[in-house]
Formats: sequence, C-alpha cells, structure tokens
Amino acid sequence: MTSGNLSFSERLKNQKKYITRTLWTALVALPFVAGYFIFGVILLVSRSINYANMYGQSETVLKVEMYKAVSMIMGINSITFAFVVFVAIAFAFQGFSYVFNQSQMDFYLSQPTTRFQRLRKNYLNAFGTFLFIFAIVEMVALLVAAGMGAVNKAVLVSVFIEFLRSIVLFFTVYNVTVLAIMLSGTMLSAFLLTGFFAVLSLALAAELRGLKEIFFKTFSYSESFEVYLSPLFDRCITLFRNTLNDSSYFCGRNVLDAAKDIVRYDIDTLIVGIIAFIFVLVFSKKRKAEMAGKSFVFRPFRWVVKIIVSVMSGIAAGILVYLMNDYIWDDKLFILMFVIMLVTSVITGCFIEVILDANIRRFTKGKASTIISASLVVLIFVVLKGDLIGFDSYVPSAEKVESCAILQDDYNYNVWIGRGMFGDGYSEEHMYITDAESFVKLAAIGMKEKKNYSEDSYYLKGYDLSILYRMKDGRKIYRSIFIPYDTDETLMDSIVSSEEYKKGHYICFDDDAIRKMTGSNVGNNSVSYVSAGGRKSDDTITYVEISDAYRKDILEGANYSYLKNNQPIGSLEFNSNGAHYVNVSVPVYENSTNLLKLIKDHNIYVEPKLTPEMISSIRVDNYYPGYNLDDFDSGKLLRDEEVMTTSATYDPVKNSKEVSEILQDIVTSDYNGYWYDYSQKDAKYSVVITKKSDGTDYYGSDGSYYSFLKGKVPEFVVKDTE
Amino acid sequence: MIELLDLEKSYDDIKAVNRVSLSILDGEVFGLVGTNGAGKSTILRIIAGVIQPDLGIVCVDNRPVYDNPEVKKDIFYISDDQYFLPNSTPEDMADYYEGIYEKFDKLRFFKMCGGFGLDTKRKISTFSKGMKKQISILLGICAGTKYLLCDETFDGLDPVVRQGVKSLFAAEMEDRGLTPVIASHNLRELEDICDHVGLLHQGGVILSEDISDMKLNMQKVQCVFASDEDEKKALEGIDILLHEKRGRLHTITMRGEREEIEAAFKRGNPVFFEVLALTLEEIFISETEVVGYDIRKFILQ
Repeated sequence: MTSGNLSFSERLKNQKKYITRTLWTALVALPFVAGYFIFGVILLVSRSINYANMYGQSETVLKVEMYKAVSMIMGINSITFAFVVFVAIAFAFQGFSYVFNQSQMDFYLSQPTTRFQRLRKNYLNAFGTFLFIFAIVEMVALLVAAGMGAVNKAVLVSVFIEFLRSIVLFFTVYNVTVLAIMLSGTMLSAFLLTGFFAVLSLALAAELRGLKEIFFKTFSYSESFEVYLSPLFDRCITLFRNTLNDSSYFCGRNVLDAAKDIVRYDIDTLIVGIIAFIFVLVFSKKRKAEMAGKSFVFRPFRWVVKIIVSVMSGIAAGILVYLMNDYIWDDKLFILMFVIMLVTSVITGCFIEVILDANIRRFTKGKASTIISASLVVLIFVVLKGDLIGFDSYVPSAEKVESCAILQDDYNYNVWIGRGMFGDGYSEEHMYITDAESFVKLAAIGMKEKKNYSEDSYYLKGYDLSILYRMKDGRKIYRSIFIPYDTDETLMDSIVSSEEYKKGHYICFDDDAIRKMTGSNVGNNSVSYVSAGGRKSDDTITYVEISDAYRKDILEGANYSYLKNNQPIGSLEFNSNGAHYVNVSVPVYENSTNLLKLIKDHNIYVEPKLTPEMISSIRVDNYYPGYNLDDFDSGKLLRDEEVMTTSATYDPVKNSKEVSEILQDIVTSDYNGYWYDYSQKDAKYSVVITKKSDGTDYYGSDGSYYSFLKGKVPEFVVKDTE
Repeated sequence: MIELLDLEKSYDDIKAVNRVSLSILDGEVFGLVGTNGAGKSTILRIIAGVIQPDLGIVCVDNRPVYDNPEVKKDIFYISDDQYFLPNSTPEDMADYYEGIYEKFDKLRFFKMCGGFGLDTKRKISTFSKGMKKQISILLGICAGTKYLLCDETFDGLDPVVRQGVKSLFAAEMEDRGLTPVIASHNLRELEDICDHVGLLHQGGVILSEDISDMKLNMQKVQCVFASDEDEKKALEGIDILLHEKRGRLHTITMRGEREEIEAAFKRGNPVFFEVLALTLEEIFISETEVVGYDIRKFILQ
C-alpha cells in the first residue's frame, strides 16, 4: 500500500505525530499554561472567599472580588501575555530552526513542496496548536470559575477580549521571531536579533527623549512618552494603565471602557505583526538554503544591525553620563559625554563582531562599519549640541496652529474618583486658545528667554511654563518656555485673561462629576474658610455653591494684571470623604465678590490681617546676611556653606512697636496665586509668625509664613539680622 | 533525464560549481566523483531543488526543479548527513514520508528493513552510522521516486550491504526505471555500481563518460617482445596512454578495441601477450593524465 491510498484518519494521525514531534514545545508549554489558568483561578477565587469569611465581607462584595480574581488571571488586566510571548517564541524557533542546519535544510527543502507551502504549514501548525491549547485551557478554567460562582457577563467579556488580544500578540511575537530567524543563520544570532527587535523602538524612543532632555532647553516634560511599533511597550503600558482592579465596580461597561482605552496599543502591536509578516514573506523567498550557519544571512543587514546597536550604545552611554552628573551638569561635561559616547560606540562595534562570529579575533575587524557608527555618533552630537535642527528656536507660524494651551494644572483640586486623579492633564484636555497669533508671540519671547535662564532662580524672574501647540495637521508640539515678569501685560492679558484660558485651566468649569458625587454625600462634607486671622467652618455649604461662585469670580476678576499684583487673602476649603476623596482649596482674592458673599452669608469670614493680640511670637530669618540679592547673577546663588542664616525674634508684648510695624509690611506666603509676581517680595527675608492657639486654627499654633515686599523691610529688621 | 547546463554556484567568494554541464540519462547509475569541495554536494542539492544556481539551467525531465513540487515528487535526496526527525524510529520516518511522497510504500519498507536486519521500532539515534545510511537508502527506494540522489551514501557501507543495495538498485532500475545519482569522493566505491561517471575537480567537470564505453575503448596489455624491432612493429599506429617497462616485461595501456589491439600485437609476434582487465581507477588515471591531471593526487588516496 502506498501513501496515495491513505485514509483521512491515517493522514490525520500522521499529521498529529508530525506536530507532536516538530512542536514538542507545545507539550512543555501545556502544563504551565494549564497550571496558570486553572490553578490560578482556583487559588485566587479561594483566596477571595477566605478573605470574605475572615473579614465578614458582604455577599455582593465577595462576588465582585471573585469576578476580579478571575479577570486578574484571564482577563484584560492579567499577565496572560507572558505565556503568549513564551509560547510564540518557542513555536517560532521550533518551527523554523531548521534553517540554521544544513542537513535539516536538505531534508525539508528537497521534499516536494515549495518554500511558501512549508512556511504556510509551519504557520498553520503553530497557530492551530496555540489556539487549541489556550482555547481549551481557558475554557476549562472558565468552567472551574463558573463552578465556583465567579463568572458573570463582565468576566466573560474580559476573558474574551483578552483572548483576542492574545491572538494578536501571538501573531506579532511569532512573526517577529520568525523574521529574526529568517535573517539569521545561527540560533544565537536569531535569539539576539529577536531581543533586538523587541527593544529597538522602545530604546529608540527612550534615547530620543533622553537626548532632547539633555540638549534642548525648551524640551517639555509634558511631552508624553510615546513609543510606536513596540509590542513590549504596548503590553507594559496597557498593564500599567489598566486599573480595573482598583475600581470598586466590576461590570461589563468598565471592562469595555478599559478595552477601548487600550485598543490603540493592540492596534500598534498588530501593525508590528503585519509588517513582520510581510518581511517574513519577502525574506523567506530571498533567503538561500546555503546561508545556514552564518550569523546574519544578508550582509547589508549585518551592517545595519551593527551600526544601529553601536550608535544606540554610544547614545545610551552618553545619557548615563548625564544621569550620573545630573545635578552638577555644566557645559564642560559635554566633552566627557562626547568622549564616552564615541568610545562606547567603537567598543560595542568591536564586541558585536566578536559575538556574531563567536571569534575573539574578530575584535578589530569590520573597521568600515565601526567608523560609520563612530561618525554617526559624532554627527548626532554635533547636530544636537549646535541645535542644527532648530528645536530650541522653533516657533510655528500662527496660521498653522489650530489651538494652543498652557499646560498648568489646577492644583487646588485634589480629587480621586475611582480611576485616577480627577483633573490630571486637565489643561491639555480642556484648554483651546485660538488666539494663536498672540500665543505664538508670547511663546517666541518664552523660547528665547528659556535658553538663557537659570533654573535656580527662575521664580524670582518669571514664569516657567509648558506650552502645547495643536497643529492643523494633527501634530502636537510641546515646549518649555520662560516668561519674564516684565513681559508686556497686554500680551499676557490677551492669553491669561481669555475665557479659553480660564475654562481650560480652572477645574471648576468641568466638575459635573464632583458636583454629582458631593451632592449625594452631604453628611460627609466639611467646609471652612481659612485666612490669616484663623479658620471658621460651616459644613452646610455645598460644593455646587462654592463652584458656582468660584466660576463667576474667575470670569469676572481673574485677569493677569490683577493676579500678577495680588495674592489671595484666604482659602475656602471643601472636603468630602465618602466613597471618593475630594479636597478642594479655592483661593479667595479681594475681588472674589461672589465667594466672599457666600463666605460672609454663612458667617465664616475671617479677617485677613493679623493683630498683635493674636500673635505669640514673630521670627524673621535672614538667609543671606551681608549680601545684596540684586547683585547676584542668575544661577550663581551662594553655596549653603558660604552663608549662615541669622534670625531675630520679636515678642508682641516686649516688642509691640516692632511687631506692629512688621505686621504692617508683610504679605502672606501661605496662599500663592499662579500668576503672582514674586519679584515683588524680598527673597532675602522670611517671616514666621506663631499664633496663640484659640481653637479656631486648623493647624493649632503652628507658624505661618510671610514675606516682606521689596523696599518695605523695616530698618530694625535689617539691623537685627545682619 | 536530468540536464545541467553551464551551472555556476558561488558561496561568497568561493566558486563551488563552475560552468558544469552534465546529462544524466534515465535508467543508468550516475556517479559523481570528486574531492571534498569539488562541488558534488552542491550539484546534488541543485538537482534536488534545495539550492538555486547562480547561473545556468537545471532541468529534470525538461522541467525546472527549484521550488517546483511536481518535479520534486520524482526526486529523493539523501544528504551526506541525513536528517531524521527528533527521537524518531524507522517506522516514524516511514509514517512521515508516507505523508510526503504519494508512492511511498511503507509495507515494502518494513519488509526491506527486516531483510537488512534493521529494527523499525528502535530509535534511529541509537543506530550506527552505517545503519542510518541503510535506513536512508531504504526510505529513498521506498519513496518510489524516479531519481534517487545519494551524497556519500555508500562510503563506509560494508561489502555485504553494498551488494544488497546494488541488487536493490538493479531490481528497481529494471522494475520502474529508477535512476540513482551517487556522489562519492572515492572512485573505488563507485566502480562496481555506476554505469556513468562524472569526474569533478574544483567545481568543474574534468570528465564524464560511460564506463562500459571507456572499458571497451581502452585496453591494458602485458607482453614480452623478442626484440626492439618486434616491439616497434607491434606498437606502430597504436594510441598509447601509459607504457611501463620492467626488464623485458611491458605493461601498456592504450586506446582501441580489443580485436584491433590483438591484431596489432600479432604483427610484433610477442613472446608473451595477455590482455588484462582494467579497473575504473586505471581508466580514469589514463584519461585524466591525457588532459593534464594526476587524479591519484586527489581521488585515489
């Protein structure tokens, strides 16, 4: 009997034997995968039950915890991907490692099949086996979970979505690994190349950001760290972003929301897989059988890998030098950085030669590619150091800008609602300043100043800001700028006093969630007004009332020219500690008529002025005795050991005259406004006032901090502290 | 028929096959002889469709072979380091090939294994090198392909097995027109098997001849002449390839058919005259010396 007469079942049997023999890694993977899913579910669900018994959790809470436990093992917030990656790499090597061995190449390629048919067969076997293993094991695990009462619709949705994501990930990792194999002639180089592909885009993005940070003064940390075409990053970031477990609820909507939130990363992963698959098709056709045993089968590719790795190593070494010297960085260290970048690049090139050929004698070979790598490092350094790409001077033309934003979050709001801090990134999301012409004009000033300013004393000279241009072509451009206090007030007003700025900056303009939440939690709310004179509370004031008054005051009076010259006189504080955490501290200015009306209507107004009777003592610190701060160059503040702070203490009884004079001339440092001009204050002195405790002060008798305005430091203070 | 025309193949800077043209006729045992690195394996791999030539044409029954499964169905290639699936037994390999070659005859394979004393259920990894070669040959024969390409497969087989394989080849050739192509670095290994031999050196073909034709057209004679004059008369007009003289005993290798040579020697009236059997080795030494090679240096160690 010949094989032409084989029955279907015999063919199936032979195929099964073939898969078992050629994909034996499946047999190794199966127990691990089964152990993880089935025992993982049993263990975590049992843990939830035990925990509930121990701490008397209600049936409802226990159910949610059990659902979360199953999802944590199998759902979108699980670490299933680790197994998928392992299986995909193992299957790829198992299926295609024959290309490293000439006798196996002879064996397989002499058979009556085309290269494409062989590729297809390996792919189908790998995918079929993967799907079989994961589908069966997950099904069993779900049945076990269902038996324990830990499955609901949300769990099923979560598991199903994760299963689809696993298929995408398997497809990508498998293709990337096969591509690495197709480009390699040995197992070692294929492994190294797989690792290279896995980290390449992530490392590139990290190095690019590191270089920007080091070389460009206008680089903004608000620029989000985006990595494209990196399945590794995609999975790590989605695991990090996925906060399903932190949620108090576990419902289908939450799962779908979470899935929607991360779908773009899965698309990125899929794109990598498709690109790798296309390259696999191309290179499997181009790859010659006789290339088995070479490190990299295509010589130009060997060059590309060597040059990329050498250059990236050089850059990484440079960044490391910067990180190690971050706090003492100056221009001289650039020379050290440059030398280390160059040396690292050259040495890495030499080691790559040794590793790829497993021959120490190759250390000094491949000079041409090593020289190219070193030249590229030099080129990169020169381009960045000289800013030949014009990063620090780039200001877009106003016509190309769709809208702009000053990325300055409203830190008066500390609100936690389920999934992260409410208001994080608020201005980026809400601020759309359309007066691009004024904005660009202001940004141009800020860019120029930023290049010259010193971080040590910026607050004495202006505002350090992050800005965002949303371009008409869809790009987002972030920059860090420095606006001096003496910038044209009209120009500043055109931005800061605009409704677009106000509604984009102050969280109260989009606080429906807080209004809703605090409204249903009235019993747990507390409200107080704090000023220099003390603190008064009335918990009947609602957040809605505060927010409405605050909105009106912002729109009517929070203009740049006012905020620059005035500080808040107090702060209206709202706290709500229910299922969620809300801590809002609304600054109250003298022109906050609506807030002041609300405060006064509820009899919690406290005078912003201190009287000697309220005071226990006053201490004035002179940080730089004997020095005139106006003589300092920016960035050259005195070293700590060169100055000794001197202090003078005044008693309201013994020094009543001095105390009265001090109280006349000080301004608070406890409530600071965003746009206040700090150059008005004398930074040399700090006034610490300790009040008598009368029970109204929230903080008891702790000291409050004040400053003298420039030119208003009493002569006796100068004399007493010099 | 397998036809190679102006084949060229280089590995980086090394030319493995240099303008090779050969014709392998159906139903003959073709031997490819050459030193290590002469290009034998490369030529077999090209014929098997494993590698693609840089230049030239290779046709099997007038069809290109590279990436052509229809043609490859007719070819079974046994490499010099034959691969077997991990942990496989001969039976497993038969199962595997059953799914690859439509005409694979598993029952016959088991029968043949029995005949050669090979246990079909024993792991191949535990077999000796010679036994593995036997398994390869039997798998190749049972695959039912028209062409069987053997790379160094016979080297090291013991005489009994060689004889057995020879008989199998003969039977297969007669039954279904099998055409074995056998590569070896040792001419002596092929002497009793091949009908036609192609001699390779440094990637090129030095010689490709039918062995029976070569034997018919070349004679080796031992003789003793009474005088120099008789010797002159006898050797007049004969194409002498090699002439050795020890005392009065002449050993002469020459071209020409046996009757023609006998008639010529009768003219010299030799005291002693005997026609000796020529080995393949001697034929090759003679033929290649004419074209300037001393193959003893690279084939007949």
